[in-house]
This record gives sequence, C-alpha cells and structure tokens, in this order.
Amino acid sequence: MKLLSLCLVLISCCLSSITFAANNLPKPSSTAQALFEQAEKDLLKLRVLTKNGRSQSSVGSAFLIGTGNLAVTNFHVISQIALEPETYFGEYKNTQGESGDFVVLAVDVLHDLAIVRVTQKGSGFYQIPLPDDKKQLPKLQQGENLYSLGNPLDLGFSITEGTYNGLNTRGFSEQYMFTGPVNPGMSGGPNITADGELAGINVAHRLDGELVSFLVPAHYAQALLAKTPVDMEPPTDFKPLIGDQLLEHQKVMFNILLSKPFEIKELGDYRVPVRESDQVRCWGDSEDGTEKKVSSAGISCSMESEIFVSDSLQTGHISMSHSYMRNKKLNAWQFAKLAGQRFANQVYSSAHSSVLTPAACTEDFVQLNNLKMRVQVCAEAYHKFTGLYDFTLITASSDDADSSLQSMINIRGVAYDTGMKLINEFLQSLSRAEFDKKKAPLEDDTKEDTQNNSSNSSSSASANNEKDAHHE
Amino acid sequence: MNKPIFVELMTAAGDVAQRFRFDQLPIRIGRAYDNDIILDDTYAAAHHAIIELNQLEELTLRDLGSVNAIKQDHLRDNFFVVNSEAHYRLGHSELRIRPIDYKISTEKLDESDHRWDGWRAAIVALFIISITTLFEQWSTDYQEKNVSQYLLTLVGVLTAVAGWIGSWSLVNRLLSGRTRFGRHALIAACGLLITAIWETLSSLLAYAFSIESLATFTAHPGIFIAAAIIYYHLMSLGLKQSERIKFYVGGITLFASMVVLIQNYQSSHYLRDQLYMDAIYPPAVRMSGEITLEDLSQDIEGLKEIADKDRKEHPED
Repeated sequence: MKLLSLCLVLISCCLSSITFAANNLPKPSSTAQALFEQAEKDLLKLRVLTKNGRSQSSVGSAFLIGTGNLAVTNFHVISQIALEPETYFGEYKNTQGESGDFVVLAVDVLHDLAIVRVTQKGSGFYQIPLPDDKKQLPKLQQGENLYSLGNPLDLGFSITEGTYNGLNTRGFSEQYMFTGPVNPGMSGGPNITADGELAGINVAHRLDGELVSFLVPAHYAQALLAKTPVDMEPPTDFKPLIGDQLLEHQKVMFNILLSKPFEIKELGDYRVPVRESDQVRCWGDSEDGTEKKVSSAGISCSMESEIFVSDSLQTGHISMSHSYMRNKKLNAWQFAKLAGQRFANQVYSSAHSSVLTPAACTEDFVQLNNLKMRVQVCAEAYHKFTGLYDFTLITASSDDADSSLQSMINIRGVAYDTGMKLINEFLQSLSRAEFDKKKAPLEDDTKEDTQNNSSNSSSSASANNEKDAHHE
Repeated sequence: MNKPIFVELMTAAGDVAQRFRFDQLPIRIGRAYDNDIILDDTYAAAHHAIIELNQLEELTLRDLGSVNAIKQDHLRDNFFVVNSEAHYRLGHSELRIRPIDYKISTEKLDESDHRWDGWRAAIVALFIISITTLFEQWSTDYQEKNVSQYLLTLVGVLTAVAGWIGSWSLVNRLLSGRTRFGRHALIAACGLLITAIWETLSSLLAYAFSIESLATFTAHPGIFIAAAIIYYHLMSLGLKQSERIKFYVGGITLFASMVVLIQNYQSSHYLRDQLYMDAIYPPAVRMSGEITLEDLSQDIEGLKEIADKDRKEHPED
C-alpha cells in the first residue's frame, strides 16, 4: 500500500511537471501546423504483411500524387513484395483510418524509390509535374526550411521541421541533406517546402550524427512516375528489372572509379594502390610500440554508399585495404607464423546463402612487377540477378623474410569483366618500393609516405561508424 | 578312447576361462550336478549334451534333448562332429573341444621392446610432450611472454594429457591388472609429436611446392593419427584380436573422415577443411616458380563458369 501511494506521488509529480513544461513550450510553428492540415489527407502508412498469417514484416510511409491513385514510397519499404511476391503482400492505411491493399507498379533500386497503386485517390496536394511540364520542381536554397511527414516508429502520422543543407556527394547518385529528424517508419514519406511543394522523399539518417538525414530528390520520383502509366499491369517478377538497374549502376559506378588510375601510396617497403574520392574514403593506422616485436601500418578505403536490395543484400560497394608488417625482434619462423595467422580466415564460402553462390576460388603464387606474392581470388554469382558478381582478392607478399604486405579488395555487385578489370588493375599497382626507385623514379605527386596517412585508432573507428547510414 | 580330451569354457572375448582334462569318454555337460562339466547357466538344460566317439572313432557332440540345442556359428543342430577350432554354444556358455595331440601354432618371435614401458617410457613421454608444447608456444610467441606463461601452458597440456593417459591406464588395470602408465604415456606423446611434425611438414611442403591440398585438407591426417593412437592404446590393453580391432578402428576412422567431408560440403560446398592455403613462410622455403598475371587472369576467367553453374532459381529451397 505504501509502495502504491509512493507510485501515485511520483506519477502526480511527473504529470504536474509535464503540465508545467507544456505551459512553457513554444507555440508550434504555424507553417508546420498549416502544412500538416493540408498534407495529411494524402499521407499513407504502408505495411508489408506475410500472406501466411498476415503478420507485419515492415512499415513505412507513402504519399498520393495529384488526384490519382498512385503513391510514391521508398523501394526498401516494399522490397520484400518486389522480391518475394509469393510470400508478402502490401496494405495501406490513410490518416482517416481507411485501409486497403496496394500493388507495386515500378521500382528504382538505385535511388530507393517505388510507385504503388492504392484503391483511393489523392486530393491533389502533392504535385509532381511531368518532366516537360512548364511548372518545375522547387529550387532549394541552403538553410531553407523543409518539412518531413511520415509515420515515425509506427506511432502515428507526424510532421518534423528542419533545413535543407545541400547535396550529399558521398554516393553515386544525388541525395539531399536534411538537417532534421527522420525516424524509422518515415521512409517513403514526403518532404515539402514551406509552400507545400515536394522537395524530396525521406530515405535515411546517420546513426553517428545528430539530425543528419537524407532525402531522395523529387526529380528522381518525377522520372520514375513519367515511366509509370496509371493503368499499367503490375509486373509479375521484378528481379530481371532490378538486375538490369544494378548492372546499369555498376557501369556508372566503375566508369567513375576507373576513370583514372589508382593513386599509389608507399607502405613500408611496398607501393600500394588506393582510391580516394568523394565516394570512397581512406583511413590509415600505424603501430610502432617499442615493446612490440613487429611494427605495422595499414590503409583501408571503403565506399560510403551501397544499394539496398533487401535486408540480406546490400550491393554496389567496393572496399580495399593494405596491411604492412615489419619484423623487429621475431625470428624468421615466428614472423612467418604471424603473417600466416593474419592471412587466414579472410574469405569464406557458404553453401547456404540465398543471395550468393558458393565462392569459386583460385589461388597461386604470382610474380608481378618486382613483387612475388601469394594470391587468392574468389568470385560469387548472384542467384537472382543474372550477370552480377561479387569478387574478393587477397594477397600476401612472399619475397621478404622480414616484411609482409597483405592486401585485399572486395567488390560487390559488378559485371564479371568489370570485376576482372578492377582486380587486374589493383594487382598491377602493387610493387616493391625500392624497385621503382631504382628503375622508375616516382612521380612527385605519388611520393606520399605511409606515416602521413597514419591517424590514431579513433579515426579508424569513426570510419567504421560513418558507414552506418540507417534506412528509415 | 586312448588319448585325453580337453574341454575349454570360453569367455565372450574368446579367452579360455576354464579348462577341463578328461581321460575317458563320454563327457556329460549340463546344469545338473551329476554331469562331468556343470554349467552355471540358466539357458542350459540339466543334461544338455554329451561328448563321445562315433563309429568312425571321431569325437562328436550330441544334444540330449535340450530346448536350445547346440549352436555353432549361428547353426543350431543336435549333433556335431567336433572341430577343434570351433566354439560350441550351449545356452549362453561357449565350449571348445580339443584332443591332447591338437597341433598348436608355432612360437611367435617376441618383437616387443619391454624397455618402452614403465618409468623410463613415462620420462621419455614427459620430455616429448614438454618439448612439443614449448615449441608450439615459442612459434607463436609474438609478444614477449615470460617463463611463467610458458610453464602455465605446459602445466595445462600435461594435465589434459595425464587425464587421457590415466583413463587408459585405469581400463588397463581393470582388464589385465597392470596399469602400464608409461606405455600409454609414450603412445600419447608420440601421437602429439607426430601431429606437430605432420602439421609443420605438410604446411612447409604445401608452401614450397604449391601443393595446396596438403594445407587445406587438415582434418583427415589428424583423424588418422588419432585412430593410430587409439589402436596402440587398445593393443596395449592386452586384447588379442588385433585384426578385429584394426578393422573396427579403421571403420571408425573412415566414418569420421566421411562425416568431416559431408559437413564441409554442406557448409561451404567444398570437401576441404580450409578454403585456401593460409600459411606464409620465408622466401627460402619456396621451391616452385610463380605464375604470371596473364595465367592468373585466365584462372579467374574460369571461375565464372563455376559460379554460374551454382546459380539457383530458388536458392531458399
């Protein structure tokens, strides 16, 4: 009884403090209030359900375009329906609580967009003009207020306020940076200007930042809508379509990546290829503790974006790393054992993957330039997307008893010839530094020392964190 | 009858449990106390069988109307002409019948070296185990470990091996009354040493001559060495059916290898234990040549066909 009365006191205290706080809260922005009043009519909650048991698998948002029955959402909200239509189906609910089934008509995997058809019509609030229409999409200014709508955490329809902060150039396709809250469940919801014009579609936020969110620019939705007739029959199988889009994307991606040769950096006794650009970022580390029996240094580069196809398949990604080790106090046998230990367990083959075939591998000792090395290459095909492959190459130098260079490149979602081309170029760029110094003097711009690339371990850790963009 | 007859009661393992000499026939066998051989066997009849001569002066074994009759190699009958090699089953009791002039096998040459037993063998085993363990420790000592860390590992290994040896010695004691701790210790130590030598040698050979399979099929030599150790432990127990033990141990070895192969295939689609050779050695070890980038590119091109062949329309099934 005493406990119960204590609880009641606590609750009443909380309530009074909430009331007190509410009395002192700033009044809601009148723009947001007015926008939500008009925009909520065409806002939808999308649910992906299993056909067997009707249990919910994912939730997202969507919005009706014009006065028709087509709605725009993110591909990742409805990806299960597109990939496994025999297992999943979609259901929508509007802000008035009316619901019905929806069908997927078109997808744009690269920009994470999809068009669905529902059984109700829009009020005309969200307008996307046709590409050749006189009325154009709004031109955004940095710092301009934008408003995101959606169904955060499936708690109910909401509007959030933030600012437009330019383009995110870390990926291969444009994304707007929106400094405002975009939470899970708001994916596929609209982002509008203060005038009610569509700016973009909510897509993701960064887990390692505060209010760093991303929008798919409205012109991608405009392009997809232009290719989607209102009365079109929904495709029975999206896989060939998605496969074609991924193949097209990898062409663009690797044309950019291979447009110029790899940059060459010195790592101990070796020269190694890296690619640093807007899309691929590199981090270095080195350890040279006096008590350690070896000194080591490393560079790793990783693409900042990848394409979401399903929860188990994110593709269109490349990463590479180099790890150098110099013997200080170990004997040759111990040093070799340590190098072997680091070379082990880097590549796996799975017979059970529903995405990739088991790894088909080849391994040998290769002599290239002035470098002898052990090379292992594995290729895996995508079960559901013809013509797409993953590659992993690992190498270990075999020409020096007191130093070891181990390199790796991992390429996901490429055509076979593109993968081979990248692997060839990567291998050709590996060499011993002193050879080049004697026979082919280094260009000034490639004389970067490894130590200059070195940063402390905290920067490596932040590199990993930065990749954690979360789809909403 | 002019020559003595020996009737031997056998154990299930094929050893003689009791031997009876008879200078005259017939010999009566059964559970009743008026028999010449009294069987303490509830599956034997009071008067179960009789050994006598037939008209051809051959020894015979005849059933006296028992329910279970006489069995020889699963053949149930009421009458047998005695074969000196055969075991006859009366109820649950096994008998062997031999005349005094039975031709025994020739004397075997004693090849066993009894010095490899007792405390001398135990000391050699301790030495081998210690050296092997310390070498393994030293090989992977990438930090500067102190002596106590080496000793701690050594004590751990010795305790584990002592447990193994102790179990075999206990079984030995139960079966033959002798522990033979030194012998079992030496067998276990040799097993550890051979395993360590094989691991190093196979890895070196694989690296030197590009014999990747030596480095990627690692489980089967281990299973074979373990089987050999178990065989020698079993033989040291004093069991006589060496051929039968060989057969069983060989069978279990093959079965274990098969299980490993199936497991590997189911998890990785490959029979080998490791996907690739991960050993790295100093350049001096390497004997074979290197291939060129063009050769490697051809090999990579060949992987496409393999990967494409493994594609499935419904991989979830």
